[in-house]
Amino acid sequence: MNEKELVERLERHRTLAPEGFAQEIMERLPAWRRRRGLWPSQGRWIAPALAGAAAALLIVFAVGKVGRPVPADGRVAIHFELHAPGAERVELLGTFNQWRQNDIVLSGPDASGHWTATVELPEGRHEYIFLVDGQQWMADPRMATHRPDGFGRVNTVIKVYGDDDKA
Amino acid sequence: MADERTDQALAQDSLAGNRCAFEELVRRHQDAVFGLAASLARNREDAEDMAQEAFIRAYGKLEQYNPEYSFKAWLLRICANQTKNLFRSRTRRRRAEEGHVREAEVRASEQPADYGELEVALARLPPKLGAPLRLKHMEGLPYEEIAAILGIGVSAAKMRTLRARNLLMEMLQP
Repeated sequence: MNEKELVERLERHRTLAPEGFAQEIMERLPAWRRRRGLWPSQGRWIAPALAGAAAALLIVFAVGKVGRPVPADGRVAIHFELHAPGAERVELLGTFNQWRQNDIVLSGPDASGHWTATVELPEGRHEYIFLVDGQQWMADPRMATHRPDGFGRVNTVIKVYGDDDKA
Repeated sequence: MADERTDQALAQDSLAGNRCAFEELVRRHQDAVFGLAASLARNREDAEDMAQEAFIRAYGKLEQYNPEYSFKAWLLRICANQTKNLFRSRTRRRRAEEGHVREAEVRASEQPADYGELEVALARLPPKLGAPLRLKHMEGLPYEEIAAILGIGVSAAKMRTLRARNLLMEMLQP
């Protein structure tokens, strides 16, 4: 067998997963993944909404002040900014919008060449990246924590807390 | 009728809570993921566990999937990472004892006559050669993606694939 024949044979070959493999996985999947929208279906919004309202009240009374606006659903307004004076369009893609293009477009540039957007994010860890003119991917140079995505790009990592801007 | 939605669309639907969409993703990629796990684990039971675990982890991390990239490559990378983690703590001796995928376990009856012969030869390849060979010639991935999935350099991916082909040709000589 020569190399060409081997490659052709390999290209036709599949190592098959065992019978019932997919079914076993589906049976093992956790049941916790639910619709991620702001308005969960089938009345599931009641408990989270009540819990969110109670948490917000606790924060107000415990801290005695309301700092940056923290909506009752636990989202926090985060300000994103990129200095790109020559750009014609800057977008923000991240885990919070499932990396969708044409979703969050920054406003700008202002007189100093800055593009900005304010996005309400749920508390927790997020990754994001800027897309400049639909071609150039840029991590946020203002932030300290970055993570290679393994495919040649570098995402910026933020942790959002109710009382802090970014960490 | 075959589901014509793209992997990206299925991933979005899965994120929205549609388990059937995720099941379609599993069916589409189960052979690729199981094959990679088999080449890295060298034991059918472990390979099955690792491949299943890869899908379950992927389901839990769907928010992190960037639909600009190939879903299959993302999935294979999860599989490679956790297979490496599992076997980092095990000895090479045990791998050798566990041997290869047994021909009897392969669903050979549904396949061409020479299916079992190639499957056994593939299973005898060392993991570091078998994995890049599978990804290149059976999954059709470019070397850059193979390197990212396996956490090696592009030149190493090319070299290992070449060595794997040479070794396979030796094994398959009549």
